[in-house]
Amino acid sequence: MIRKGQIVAALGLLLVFALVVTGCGGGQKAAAPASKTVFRFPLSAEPPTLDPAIMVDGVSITVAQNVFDGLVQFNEKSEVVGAIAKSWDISPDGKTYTFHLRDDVTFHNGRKVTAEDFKYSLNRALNPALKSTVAPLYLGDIVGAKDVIDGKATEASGIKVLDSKTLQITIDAPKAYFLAKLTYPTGFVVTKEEVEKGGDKWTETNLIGTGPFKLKQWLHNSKVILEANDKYFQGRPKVDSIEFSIVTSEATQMSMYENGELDMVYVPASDIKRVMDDPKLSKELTIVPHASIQYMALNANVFPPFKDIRVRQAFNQAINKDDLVKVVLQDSVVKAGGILPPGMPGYNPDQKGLPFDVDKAKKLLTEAGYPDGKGFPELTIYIRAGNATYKKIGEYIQGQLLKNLGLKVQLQEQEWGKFLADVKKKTVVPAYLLAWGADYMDPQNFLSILFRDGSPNNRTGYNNPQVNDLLDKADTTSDPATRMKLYQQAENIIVSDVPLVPLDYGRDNILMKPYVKGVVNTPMGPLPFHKVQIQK
Amino acid sequence: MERVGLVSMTNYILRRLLIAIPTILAISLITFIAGYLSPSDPITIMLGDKGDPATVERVKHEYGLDKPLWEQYLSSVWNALHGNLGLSFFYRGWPIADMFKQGLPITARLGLTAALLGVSLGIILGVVSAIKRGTWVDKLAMFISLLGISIPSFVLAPILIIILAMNLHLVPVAGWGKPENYVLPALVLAARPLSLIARITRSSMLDVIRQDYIRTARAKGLGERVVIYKHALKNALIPVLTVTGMTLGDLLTGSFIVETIFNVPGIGRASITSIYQRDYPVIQATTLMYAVTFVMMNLIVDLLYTLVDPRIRYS
Repeated sequence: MIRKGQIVAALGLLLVFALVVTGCGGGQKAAAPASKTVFRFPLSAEPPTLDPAIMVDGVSITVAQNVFDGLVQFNEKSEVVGAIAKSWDISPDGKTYTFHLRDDVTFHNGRKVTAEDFKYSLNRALNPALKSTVAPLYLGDIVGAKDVIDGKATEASGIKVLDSKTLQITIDAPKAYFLAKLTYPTGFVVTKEEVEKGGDKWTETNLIGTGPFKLKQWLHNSKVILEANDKYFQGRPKVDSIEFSIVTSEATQMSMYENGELDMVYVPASDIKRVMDDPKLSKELTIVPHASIQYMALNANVFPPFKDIRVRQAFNQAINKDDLVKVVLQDSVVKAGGILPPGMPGYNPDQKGLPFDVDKAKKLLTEAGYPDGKGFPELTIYIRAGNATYKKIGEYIQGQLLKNLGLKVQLQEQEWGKFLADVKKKTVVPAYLLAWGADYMDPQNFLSILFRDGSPNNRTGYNNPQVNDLLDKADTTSDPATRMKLYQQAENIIVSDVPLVPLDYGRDNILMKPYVKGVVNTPMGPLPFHKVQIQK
Repeated sequence: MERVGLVSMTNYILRRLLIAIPTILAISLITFIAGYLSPSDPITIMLGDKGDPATVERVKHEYGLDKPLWEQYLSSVWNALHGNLGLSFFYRGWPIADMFKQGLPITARLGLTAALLGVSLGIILGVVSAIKRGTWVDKLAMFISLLGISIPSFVLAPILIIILAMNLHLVPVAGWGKPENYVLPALVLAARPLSLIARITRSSMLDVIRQDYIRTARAKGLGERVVIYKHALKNALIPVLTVTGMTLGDLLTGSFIVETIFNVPGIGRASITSIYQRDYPVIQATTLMYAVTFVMMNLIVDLLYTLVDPRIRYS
């Protein structure tokens, strides 16, 4: 028989081994030295790029907006205010913008920013060699931009340097939302000499902007660390650095927050109920509107019954959205009446939408020739696969249509890429669930893009001449009050025409530690973090 | 080693490597075709709901995604043969070679830690429970190893997070760069190999202990320690080696899940992400890398047999 001592020895060995592997000790040492303040916020993915000219995704923008600035920026009320431009004049025809730049703005490398830098940055973004997918959307209104995109010119004729502190941009038609588009990263100023010095890797080695923070380290797939820019023209940041951990798993993000490894986190839908019921976490919860809408599109291009407004209205009025939001989505979102979400300029709190009314819906369907749903052709609603929320909404709508209208519709989950490609073709998918989020805070970004005839994103065959006129007029009107009125008129008509069924407006459910102050959350996400404080 | 043995061994290795070439080519072709057969494309996914069709087409052209399939495949093979793995579509301008340079050592270090943990603890657990057969020590060890085999890593990981990180605060939930960051991912990765190895070691030990030569060894008065460690364990290790070879594969595939949960910037997480994003060049490169690694590991395990058991010969 083996001796007892040997077992003890073996166990000892095991213990030693475990200690070696664990690096001899527990204790979590996430916090930085006390003298330096760090704000720790997760990114849900590795930033696909930190080049502002090509970024398409929220993760990249979250980092870039802390490193770069543009001519203009959004404030906490989602109004466009000056950034590097201290003021601007707009010509009477609404087409020429003259920007007067601040005199005290320097890049992280110490050089002063001039109008020439903006000319370089904007033309660079349009350059086809950069393969920017977003430049056409955000800068395409500038005269001559298309020539640069098509490779016919190297500079857009509409961008002129009047002197080192004055930049003039001419656009192809009066567009009141042009300034809002300039807040997007494609409008950020970069440094020619650093971009050229860094070559293909300038975003890692020479990421020089004017913003409140400088890039200290970008450890791919792990973290991005920024440090304060002491000479920031809008005031030195209150924290010394930002640590963006790249954490792809939502569950891990939550665990890290609860374990004190993160200072702020977005609550995933699956955790929202638990957080609200938890006495400690619920106190750290902030709820802000998110500028987005979830909807069910009714595509008349594909499904002829949707050409009849009565069928579309019946669909809308047969779905109980109060229950959808409260029971199915557990109040993680807000019921949508109209199209423009809360926080968006032009949002109309009185816009309640068509009411939930089963009798009315039945009557409309009967008038359209489908009493009790009889004779209604087979319909399939498409949803994005692998997304629990869409699935829940889809199943709920399926149930409502059966219960309230006697319609048996199919639900089809489809892989995201295929789903998108088919939806964009406009002639394949009869009905689908999707969301639209703001690119910039202007009603044009919702109403004209989704409902104006001829817009690539108007995919349901909706074409109401009256709406087209109202939207065209609103897009070019310069007086904000008149503009918003025109948009609201258009929204009223769209709501009763039901080219899509508005379901809910997005909400950001944010957990923030009590010692974090100064985070400004807007309907388009947090503003740059230079006012954030850690008061431990 | 004898000269003849050395020659035949070299021949054997060469032959195995030659056979590996068509295998790897076939894998690359299948991955390529599967990627392109799947509906939709990386540019559409990159743009999401935004971006008009004209932009999508323009960018596809700029990436060469509108070229004939065979042309795209041949040029990717040609480039790979010249050591140029290309650039990621999604992470703009990021050379895949750099991605590997950063991610591979991390995955390898984590995998190695887990392998060491799994093999050493597994063998210890197996030997102890074989010696103590039928006692509570044996039962406990086998119960633990049963759990280790049956609990999938995506369940074990959150359980360990809750216990070790959130309740006991011994280690951080996730992250990378400090020694304590190894603990949870290595434990989860090691759980299955450890359990398998423990069970195999135990049954193999029990088998060997009943052999005549062990009785002989005891009969000639050798100490129990010598009998167990010198005579029994060495022979009992042959099946253990086979299982170890197989479970090393588990470590590689396990890295996909474990690296994602614990936020480890290794190559496993990079390859999962690339699949979601239809990042074709990265999918191609990581699949090839995994294929080559598997082929090599199989070969190494086969060769190791000869060291442990001289009766095995290759021809």
